[in-house]
Amino acid sequence: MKLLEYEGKALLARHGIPVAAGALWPQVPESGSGWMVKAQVLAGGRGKRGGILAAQSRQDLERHAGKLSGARLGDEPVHAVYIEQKLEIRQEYYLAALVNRDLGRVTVVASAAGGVDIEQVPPAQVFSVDVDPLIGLAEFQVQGLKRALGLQGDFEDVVRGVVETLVAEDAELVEINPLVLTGDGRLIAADAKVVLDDDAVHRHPARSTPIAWSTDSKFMQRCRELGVIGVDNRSALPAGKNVSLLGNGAGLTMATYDQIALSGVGVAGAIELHGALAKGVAHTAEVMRALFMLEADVVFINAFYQLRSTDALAQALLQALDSPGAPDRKRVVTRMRGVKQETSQRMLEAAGLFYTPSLSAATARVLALAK
Amino acid sequence: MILVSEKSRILIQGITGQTGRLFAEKMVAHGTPIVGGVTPGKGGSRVADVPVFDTMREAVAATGANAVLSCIAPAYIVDGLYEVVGAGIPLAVLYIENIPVHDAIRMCAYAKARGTRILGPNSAGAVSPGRANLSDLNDANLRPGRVGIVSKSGTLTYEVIEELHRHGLGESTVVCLGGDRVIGTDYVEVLRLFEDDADTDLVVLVGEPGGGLEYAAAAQAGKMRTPVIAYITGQGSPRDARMGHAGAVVGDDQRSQPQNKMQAFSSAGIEVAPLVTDIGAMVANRLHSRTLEERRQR
Repeated sequence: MKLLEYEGKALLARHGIPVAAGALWPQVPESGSGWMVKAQVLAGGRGKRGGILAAQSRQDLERHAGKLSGARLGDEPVHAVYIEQKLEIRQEYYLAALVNRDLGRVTVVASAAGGVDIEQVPPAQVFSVDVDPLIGLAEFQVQGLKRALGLQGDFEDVVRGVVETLVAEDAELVEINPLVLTGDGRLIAADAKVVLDDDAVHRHPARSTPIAWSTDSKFMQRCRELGVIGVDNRSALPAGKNVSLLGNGAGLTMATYDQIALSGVGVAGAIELHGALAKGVAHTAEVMRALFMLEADVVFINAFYQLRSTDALAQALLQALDSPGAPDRKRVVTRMRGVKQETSQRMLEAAGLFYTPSLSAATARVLALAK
Repeated sequence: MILVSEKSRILIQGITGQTGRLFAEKMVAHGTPIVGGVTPGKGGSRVADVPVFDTMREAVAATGANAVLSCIAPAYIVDGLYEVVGAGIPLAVLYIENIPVHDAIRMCAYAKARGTRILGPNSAGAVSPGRANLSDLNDANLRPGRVGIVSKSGTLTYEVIEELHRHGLGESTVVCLGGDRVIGTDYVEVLRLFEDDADTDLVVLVGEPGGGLEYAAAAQAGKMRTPVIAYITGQGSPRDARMGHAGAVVGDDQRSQPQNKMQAFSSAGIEVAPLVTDIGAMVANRLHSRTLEERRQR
């Protein structure tokens, strides 16, 4: 879950990292040095796209804020406008802490070449240390980074604060770019990019729903309500007929997606059941109806269970197919494997549906129907 | 075979819960060497006719257990894992998913430092067909054989097994690493075990989008005597789609892209299957040409 800048900065401030005085428009913070007017969007590179504007006077500020409010930046609506005290910048640094998946550790990344995309900075100017989870960020690592950046002053508190924010707030990424050294020698976080761990939201009940959800399709919203994983690809469909698919488990769903998409046929979207079958036939039928919201030309159900019968899945599908707006049965391909799958097969075939136990045969059928 | 065998002595952590009980019954029914289970406060009772203990230490002292399948709720998993490690058990399968990533980091680091190998979190487990089943796979869907499988996913592994069976092949050991972002055991460790395993003629490696563990795996596979065939799923997935594995997001990072991972395997001289349904034939061909080669050499 990505946070907007002002939300991320509130977390940084909680862990002792200095941020500029700021407020959400139409509130305006006190400033004797002018303001920065900043569009709150999730995508990066907003400065280049006119999302950050300087204002010397109150009049400029109102003009800029009015222009950004309710505007769009690229594909994304501006969710809010944040007004900050303008900083006197001596130098810009880069500082981030992130979950390094391959190492299974937290990695701290820092550079004296801040203010630009860190991937554009030559590797020799980027320094990193890996934090041993059993001992935490060690003093020698902090001092090493400080020396590498050529910094004086209170860098220790800032780097410790960034790691603390990452761990205590259950974040996957805390990035400050730039970390500004001001004219009077203070380090201040001038931007904040924070990505929280979706699996730890229950530990932070005060957190509101992700802002990214506000632009989601009805299909995606419905999937979330039903506790299943939805993928909506309708905005990127090639011409011709398309397929919607439903699978159980991430691996099988991705592999099924490949079977169709790599053959050049468009996939309108997908649902990964994510254990929904255990919630019963009625619930699973709702999931099927959600799949039908994609209005694809062909519907592909591919489920593989080891210790469970697929009868409830077959029943749910048949129930959903009786609803208004359901697709024609001839356009539905089912492949189900599970305990006593023959009963599911009889049920589906008796209802006039195509059934096969084989993924290859099911794929061939789907591709033929989508021709 | 690797990791699990008829010499395994298996405990189920949380054996009196719904999931734990099902696993216990399945293990007993299919001859997996389960020796007991642990649920605090339920010591002295029995589930599926195996003894239940209050603590891991008691269970290990009484049974000599050397492997655990953990089936406890996410809220207790970190403490539960510390108890497993404290009891000196060398192998733990963490079946549960959606564990906060910082908990996983702490658990994996502690286990590694103390000599416990974790499979998971979000792992379907490990099974050596006909010998021991420390996984959620149905014994009826397995066939003893000489192909090893290492995969993050559970359900996709079912499909790979199906592919092998279509071509008359079977499995030596199937190892599921888990679909979460940070996991306790990586591909390289399992590939090394397979390389030293006299019962494994070939390894199928299944990768997916997200992270970059596949790159080290490609380097390792490239220097092995045992042939490896790789398949990377998620090639057609839209960017940023989380398909149910916390770890599998294609995203913007070049390293996480399936196509780049496939390229890494190809560059290391490893055959890459385009689709999951191509795997069976490729494995059969490879083993067939290897057999011919060996006959020629004799």
